[in-house]
Amino acid sequence: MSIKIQVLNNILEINESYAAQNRETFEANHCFSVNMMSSPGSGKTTLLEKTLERLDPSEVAIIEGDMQTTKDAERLERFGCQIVQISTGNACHLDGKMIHDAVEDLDLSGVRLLVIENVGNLVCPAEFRVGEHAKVVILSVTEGEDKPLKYPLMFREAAVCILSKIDLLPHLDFSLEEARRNALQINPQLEFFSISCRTGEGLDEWTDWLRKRMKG
Amino acid sequence: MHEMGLAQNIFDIVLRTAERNSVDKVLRIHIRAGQLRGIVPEQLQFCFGFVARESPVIEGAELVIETVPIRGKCKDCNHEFLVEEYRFVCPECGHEDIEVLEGMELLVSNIEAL
Repeated sequence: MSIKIQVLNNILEINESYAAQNRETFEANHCFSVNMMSSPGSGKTTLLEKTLERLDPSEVAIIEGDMQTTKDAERLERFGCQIVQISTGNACHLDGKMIHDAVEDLDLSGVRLLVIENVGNLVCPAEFRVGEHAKVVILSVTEGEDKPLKYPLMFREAAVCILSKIDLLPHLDFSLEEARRNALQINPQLEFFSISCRTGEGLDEWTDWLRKRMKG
Repeated sequence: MHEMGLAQNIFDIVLRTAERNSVDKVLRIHIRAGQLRGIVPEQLQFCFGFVARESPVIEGAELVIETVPIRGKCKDCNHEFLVEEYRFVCPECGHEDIEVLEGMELLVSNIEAL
């Protein structure tokens, strides 16, 4: 006779507990944290470069997730802010423990903004909370308007959606309106920024949003 | 491929439960996976089959995955409803601030064992 044993254990409990610890560390240091996620090639690192040009780099720290290389971290080094690189190997996302270990290498006193650049992937990073205050999803206009419907968890979990590369709109059939509508269907609370890192359009609004939260 | 990490976590939970209850063989493991989690059952089962080889008590156990549909509750009128096609809007009053009651869970609900 087989027996049935009730378990009811959260499969992500270890990750959740690291995420909670990380959040406490961020709070204790009055540091606002954003987890930036997107498909590969949507312009996360370029956006980060443009963002750093508009903020005081001494108030910013960066955790850079990359599967194999340190190329993204190298691009950001010139700003002189603290950067920790996490090479995830074959892992497709950053998790709570990786961020916990990376934070130990940072001096967060005086840091008002921690940017976590996740691995380029719209599926797995959404599953793993890392203790961030806000998840930011970047959708470039060279992708489809239907991305939010294909990756609902990512858009449901995000607080902000950045529509990037909008300088390319005249050359594409992409409808900003439809992309927004699809994302709002999943998450009616979502805030949007339409940005071109090439022309600078929308960057001030985005950095103002960050600045407001950096003041606590 | 985060299914591999999840499979490892499931294995750890099941092994702990099996040891605590001194079972000889785990036959079936019931997983509740919220629809929003986007778990691909076949992938998770495949990964779990691989991980389970680490323990003769768990090896060969069947992973039964129940997908839990999304249930929402309107924060304005308290109406509870099934969220279909990821449309987070109250069908009663049109309000868009919806609390997710079910559909985000990811847990080992129970195991059947000898």
